[in-house]
Amino acid sequence: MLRRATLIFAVCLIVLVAGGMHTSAPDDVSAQEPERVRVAIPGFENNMTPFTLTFAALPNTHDLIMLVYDSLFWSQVKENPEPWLAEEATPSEDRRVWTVTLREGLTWHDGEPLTAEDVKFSFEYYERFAGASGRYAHHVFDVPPFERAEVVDERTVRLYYDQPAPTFEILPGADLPIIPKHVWENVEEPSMATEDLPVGSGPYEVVEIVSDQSYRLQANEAYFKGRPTVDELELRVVSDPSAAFSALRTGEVDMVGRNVPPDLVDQLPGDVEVAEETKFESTQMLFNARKPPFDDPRLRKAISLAIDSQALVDTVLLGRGRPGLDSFIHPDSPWTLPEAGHEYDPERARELLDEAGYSMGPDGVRQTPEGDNLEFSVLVSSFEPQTIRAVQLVARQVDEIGVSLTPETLDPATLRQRRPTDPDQVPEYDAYMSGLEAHAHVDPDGLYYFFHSPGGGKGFGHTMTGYGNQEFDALAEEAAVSDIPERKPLLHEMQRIFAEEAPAIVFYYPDGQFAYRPEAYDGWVTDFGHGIFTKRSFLPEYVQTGGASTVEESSANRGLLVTGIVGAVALLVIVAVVVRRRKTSEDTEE
Amino acid sequence: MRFPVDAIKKWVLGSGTRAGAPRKPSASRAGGSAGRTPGLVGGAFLAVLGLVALFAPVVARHDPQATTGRPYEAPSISHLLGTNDVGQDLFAQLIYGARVSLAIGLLSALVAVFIGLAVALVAGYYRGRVEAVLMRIVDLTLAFPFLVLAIVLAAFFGRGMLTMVVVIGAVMWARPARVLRSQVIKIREFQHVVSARAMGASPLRVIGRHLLPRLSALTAAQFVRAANVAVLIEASLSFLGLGDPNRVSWGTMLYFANTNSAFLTDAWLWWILPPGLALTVAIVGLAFLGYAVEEWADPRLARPATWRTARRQGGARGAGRHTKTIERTPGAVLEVRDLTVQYEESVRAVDGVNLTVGRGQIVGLVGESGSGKSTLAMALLGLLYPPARVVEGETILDGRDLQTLRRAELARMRGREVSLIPQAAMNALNPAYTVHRQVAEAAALTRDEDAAAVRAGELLELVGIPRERHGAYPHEFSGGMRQRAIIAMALANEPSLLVADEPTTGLDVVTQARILRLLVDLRDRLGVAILLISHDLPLVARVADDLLVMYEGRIVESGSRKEVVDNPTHPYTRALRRAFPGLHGPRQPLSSTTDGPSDLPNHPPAVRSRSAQQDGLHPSKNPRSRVILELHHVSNVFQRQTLLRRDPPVVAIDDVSLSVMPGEILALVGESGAGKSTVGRTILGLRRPDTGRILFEGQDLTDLSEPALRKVRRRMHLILQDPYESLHPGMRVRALVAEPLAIAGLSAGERGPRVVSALEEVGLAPASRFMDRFPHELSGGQRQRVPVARALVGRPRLVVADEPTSMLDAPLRASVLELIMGMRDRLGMAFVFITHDLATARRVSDRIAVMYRGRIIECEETERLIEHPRHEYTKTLLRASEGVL
Amino acid sequence: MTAHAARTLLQYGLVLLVAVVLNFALPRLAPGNPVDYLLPPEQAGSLTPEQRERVLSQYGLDEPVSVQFREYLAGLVRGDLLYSIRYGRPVGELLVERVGWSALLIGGGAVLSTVIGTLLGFWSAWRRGRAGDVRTLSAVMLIDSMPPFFVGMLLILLFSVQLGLFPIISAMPAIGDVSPVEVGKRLVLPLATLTLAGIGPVYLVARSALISELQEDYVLMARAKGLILRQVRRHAQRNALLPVSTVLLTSLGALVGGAAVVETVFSYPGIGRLIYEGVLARDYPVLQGAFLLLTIGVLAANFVNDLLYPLLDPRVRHSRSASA
Repeated sequence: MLRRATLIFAVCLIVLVAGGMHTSAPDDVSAQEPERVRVAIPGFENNMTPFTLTFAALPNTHDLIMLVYDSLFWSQVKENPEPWLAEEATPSEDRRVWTVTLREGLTWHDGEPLTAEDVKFSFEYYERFAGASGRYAHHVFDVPPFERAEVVDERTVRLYYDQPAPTFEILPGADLPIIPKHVWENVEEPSMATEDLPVGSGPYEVVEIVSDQSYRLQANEAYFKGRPTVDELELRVVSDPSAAFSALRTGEVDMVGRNVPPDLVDQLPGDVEVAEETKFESTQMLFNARKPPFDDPRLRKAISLAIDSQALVDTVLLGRGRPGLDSFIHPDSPWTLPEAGHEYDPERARELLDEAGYSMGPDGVRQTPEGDNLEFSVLVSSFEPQTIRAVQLVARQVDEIGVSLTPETLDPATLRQRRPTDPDQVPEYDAYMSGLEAHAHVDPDGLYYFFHSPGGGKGFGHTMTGYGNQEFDALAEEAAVSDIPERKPLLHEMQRIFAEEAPAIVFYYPDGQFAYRPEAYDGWVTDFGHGIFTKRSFLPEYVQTGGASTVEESSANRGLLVTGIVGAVALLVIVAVVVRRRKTSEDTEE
Repeated sequence: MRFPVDAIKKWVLGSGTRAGAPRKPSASRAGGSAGRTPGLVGGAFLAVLGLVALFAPVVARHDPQATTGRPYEAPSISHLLGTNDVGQDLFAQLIYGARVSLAIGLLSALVAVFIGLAVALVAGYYRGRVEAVLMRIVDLTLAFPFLVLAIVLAAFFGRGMLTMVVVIGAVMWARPARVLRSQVIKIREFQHVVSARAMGASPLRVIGRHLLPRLSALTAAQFVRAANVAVLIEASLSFLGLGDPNRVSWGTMLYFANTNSAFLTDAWLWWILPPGLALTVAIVGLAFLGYAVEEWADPRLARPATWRTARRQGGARGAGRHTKTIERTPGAVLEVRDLTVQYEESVRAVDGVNLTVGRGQIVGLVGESGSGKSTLAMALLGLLYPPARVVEGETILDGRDLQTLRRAELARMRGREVSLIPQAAMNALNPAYTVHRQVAEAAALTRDEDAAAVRAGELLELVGIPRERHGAYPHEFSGGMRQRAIIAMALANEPSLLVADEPTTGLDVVTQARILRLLVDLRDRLGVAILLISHDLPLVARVADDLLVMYEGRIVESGSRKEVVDNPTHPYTRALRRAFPGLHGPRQPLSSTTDGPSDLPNHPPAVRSRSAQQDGLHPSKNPRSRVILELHHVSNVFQRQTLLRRDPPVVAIDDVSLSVMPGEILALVGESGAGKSTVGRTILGLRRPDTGRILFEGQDLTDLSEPALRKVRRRMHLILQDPYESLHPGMRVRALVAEPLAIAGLSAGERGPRVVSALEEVGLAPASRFMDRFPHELSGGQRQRVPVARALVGRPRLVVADEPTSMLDAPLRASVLELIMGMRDRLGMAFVFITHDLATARRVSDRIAVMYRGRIIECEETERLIEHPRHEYTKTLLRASEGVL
Repeated sequence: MTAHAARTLLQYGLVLLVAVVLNFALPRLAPGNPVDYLLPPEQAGSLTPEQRERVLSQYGLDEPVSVQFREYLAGLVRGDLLYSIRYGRPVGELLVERVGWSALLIGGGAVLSTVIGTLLGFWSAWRRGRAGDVRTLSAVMLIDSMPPFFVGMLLILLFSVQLGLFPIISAMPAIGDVSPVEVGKRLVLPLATLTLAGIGPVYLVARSALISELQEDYVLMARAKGLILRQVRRHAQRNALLPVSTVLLTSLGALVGGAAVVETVFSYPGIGRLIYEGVLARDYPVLQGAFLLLTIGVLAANFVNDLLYPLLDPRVRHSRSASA
């Protein structure tokens, strides 16, 4: 009796699986009236204040914050961001003093008025607690370096900078979330303030948080850009990518925040649509430019020449992305070098290596002049399988020119420990993989910030590559203080130097693909550089343009599937036969 | 000389059953064991995986790590299982994956079992605090969620293959350690290990030569089980992303499949299922193999058992054939007519037996073990199990032939008409229920609950158990009291026949006498017929009205008690009678070498004032150097203690003093549990005395260091009880006898001739015939002579013989006693002869010391002690062994 | 009894002490520290050394280890498990939220696998060596050999994706309707996976325990005394329960480990996942708190077993003295 039960269970397992793949019917989604939209986000961000972020929800962290808070301007991705909280900002002659006048009748979620006082307080508070929220603070104390703020009247504040800040409207203007003074002024340890719900001025107000699981956001009726189109947003934390997309298929969620994995795009069922939009993401390998032999630009350039980034895009991204540029900056970025490209020439790479004295060793691996093999390891986080794949492919490509590269997978914390943040400490690693977003490619001071030579307390170069080039630094410093028209040629020149010296090699720029269920909500707006999960998708002003272009869904080939299932059934049957019934008669109760 | 496979198997399995002990009815040899089929299947699975892993390059056409196709290709001819997210051939990855998964699995299992075995040996051998601390660590590690520990360690110490193996091994050692330690403790008490330690063998030799070989089977089983878990952990770690993604293994395949949401696409069929099933096949293969090895190591798990008792050919079915009236001899309760019981085709355990038991009559059935008397008893009760079955004959009880009854009817007869007092009734009571409840349960068959409870009380009192003890649990009763409870249970439903199978074995002489008196008393009062089965002729002869002697399944002699005892006709009965030396009549002439029995030892006044305590010390007037061994006020308290817990102390031996002269045999006599063996072990230094001093050849052993004590032990020797158990079955006779010499450090050349002479001295001539045999290839007699040869080869000054003859049957016992007396007379060796049988002691010893509850209550020259014993307990002992009650 | 109870409590105290020290030391052995994880250079921008100091001090990570240890112990005494670095919330609160879910999963899994395992084991033991036994033995071993995460994936695939019967994300819906149906729907698949993983060990122990009990003399006596099969069966099975209770205890560790994997596959909000993520984030306070909870759980199970054992096996009771 019991024994038969286990067999029956096994048989029905097979039958049900063999029942074929049909898309399960989505459950009761209210058709057009979008009063509730459920979004799957990759991680839990505590109570969503700029100071208590865990960055677990990357790449949605910034978009989430911008649902609850506002910045003076919106979307630092463009050269001239749209005025948002601020009506206008007029710079002084030397661009060092910016006078910002706020919009009329701005209020916080708790009804308090939003005044210039709050703006002044925000700037000062960010600078004071730079450690707690480096992501935003470094645009205050670091680039451009803020000096002090002065309230002129109810709606005007004047901000003083140590040096000219020509791109104030972009950074920090379109990036820094303004925080309420009456809430934060007596908070001494911002990163521990995870208890209460955040008070912002944005289109949505957080009304309920279930730790590590979900958020409930309600539309802010009094939002100055008009009442948001969706009454309630339910954000569900789903860390496992497969779980997130299967939840989308079964209708448990209406949109998934993260990028759709390339292989899944054409597997999604009919009632799910995919919108495309540039997301300014890049995956690159960065050398430890202070540690021989990687301080030799010829070696770095040779390795860059040996990498076929188009092959990487075709294999790892299945064509859904653009090959890396030697000049680093994302092709769609306003600052990118017009004639940017990637030189793939293994032959020239071999010549360069010979020329630089790295002759071929006995076992097919080149050796440095001192005689030790050209073997180096690339640190990669074990939680980015796509990047691991890319490094494995690059390892085989680089092997062709006699350089041995081995990926070393580490869990995130160990990996970061191998990259100390102390400027004057030269780290041990050879190279490491990292992903960068809009922050690097669109910020007007991106290159300055990431690749300026270490020291001088400026920038972040020492932790990225420690690359130092006098000419590059001079150009960067000059660009930082020049207006956009004068800045562009400077940035282009910097990118040409970068292309030649290759302190970092960009593998590819993945395309942004975002899946959503149109029946649940069709007002998604593709916001350049943000994908569809942006505050604009919920504001009447932008929504009427209708959904983004959709990618039609190709039918999975059924035929092959059936043969596969039959194979599985056969295997299980064989096991059962092996354990077949014995001859001895069955036992009857005495 | 063919390799002794089944001997090694039998010995390695540490089969506990004594040679010749009757097998449990439910066990049967025939039929495959449960583990055989899974074992074969498991082996097949692993063989296939092993081959595939070995010949991976041949089997898989592609390099697993090369991009040999477009990503996400569906299965095709070129790619049998399609390709993964970077176009690597999945089939190749599956094949190469076998290498990593199996390698890590097996290697980490090796690490785990290696650490586990080391911990088990140290804890098991040294016991005491060391064991307590180690076991506490084992418990802690076992309780800790080992997968979480593995995650933490893998995250910390990196993902290299070697670190992975060490991490998994370090997490899994606790389970094998716990299992193997309990086995080490068991084996440590095996007699050949105790003998080795008694010979002064170093711990290394004892562990290497004696402990390890017997652990091999269980270690193998633990290894396979550890590998099973290791493969699972490796896969789980890789799946969680904590393995090394650059290594091709099934776990990593599943990791990339999961992160690429394969199971949302059709790809799950050829990307998730194959590695998952491959993992399952590997793990189930190991599990099946592990189970088969475990079963091989402990056959009890395997023997098929059925609860359907065997019925006579056509017995049950033929019942309806004819209800011929059965002529009954008047007054007979039980009539057995040419009953035959057959095991396999040829073996007839019971061959044409006829017997009748009249009402109120006690019929004794005597025979050596293996003569079929127990099988006959089981046949009467209808409790024979396949392959044993009754082939012909009738057993008529109160006019009904039991063999023709259907099982249900027979079941109703049991306990009502005929009931059984089983062998070794010591553990025939369920430890989990009170004695009263188990007796009431039997009585409840023929009456309601309350009446049964009252009846049980009456019965227990009838058999002499005081009312206040009725509610106790079996473990709170002595052997004798448990036997009485079983008898009460058997009488619960006023059966007309009581079958008592060896009712007094294992009891000491005094209790045996009381149980027999109880049976006689019950026969007189209740008129119940009793079939009394035993191997002890004199014991049965005391109470039986008629006697039957059974030899190899047939009744060779029957008649009234007087006829069979006084003038036995069959030669076997005569041999049986001679084997039990009577207490009176001429005593074997003592050889003349000893200088005559010495008088009562006189002691310094302080000791004398002690009450009836008589010391076994020789009169002090003999010069100390002549005395071989002296014990002064030695006492030893046994206290089980763990790290923090101490059980109440139990006094093993209390203030024992004795001495032995060269060429003298001192017998230590007393009931089991009186402390005789403890004295023996304390003499050899296997147990340290708590108080008192031990002198051997004038040297004080009490505070010697362990190595120094081991040297002294080389001049002593220990002979143990079980001839089979005390010989290491994996060693040939040559090595067995030479072991004391090897321990003393003699070279092979020096050992050879002395072994030959020793063998010939004990009658194993020509020695060359026996030198290269294994113990199982010797007859019973030859096997018992080897330990004696081993005893005399090293010419020890003192030999402690602990019940050397109690397990032997009569003829063999006599020859061993002669050997011992020979060693005393010719080689002047001193003996401490430990036995519970006063008759044997009288026959062999010069002086007898009687022990009772850990104290020597009387020590006297043998004849004087027998003629006029002083201490009350000695008198009861004498009366008991003469059968006069 | 009190002397014995005092001794056992002393033992548990000792084990707890060792565990407390281990819980503190083990996480800190790991390379990397929580702040690195918390403020990744790419996102958090470059911190000047003093700013980094300030952040460290917020979590008390800048003090020497001995000071941290004292603070940790002082916290323990006060019952305060300090603040999680990653969540910035009191660890006690985090544990309370998850312990319910985990208890449901692990407790349910333990009970179900024990009941099913024991019944199957006894059933097999009665037919030892014959067809029924061999088939059940092989079937249970086959199921027990399937890696839990593989079984989990199959169940998700089958019941959630294909049939849509059960939700895939086991996290609670935001609109806090904690109705039993919701909890039930999220619990079924993880519980099934864990139970399947737990049946094997219990089955094997129950089977071999009953087989050895059947060899005992008291079983023969029970038959000889005329009891019907059902009564004889009760006798043997009563004593075979002993080893089952001890295996349940030792397999508790394996169950919690299995739960960690199952919780990750089903993204089920239990302690297992908290530990797994805590390890990645080097969130010392969370690891300390979670491991402590586990240790107390294991000790409690030990204690319950010590209490139960004398009830099951009278021989262990310290009642009257040895035989007369």
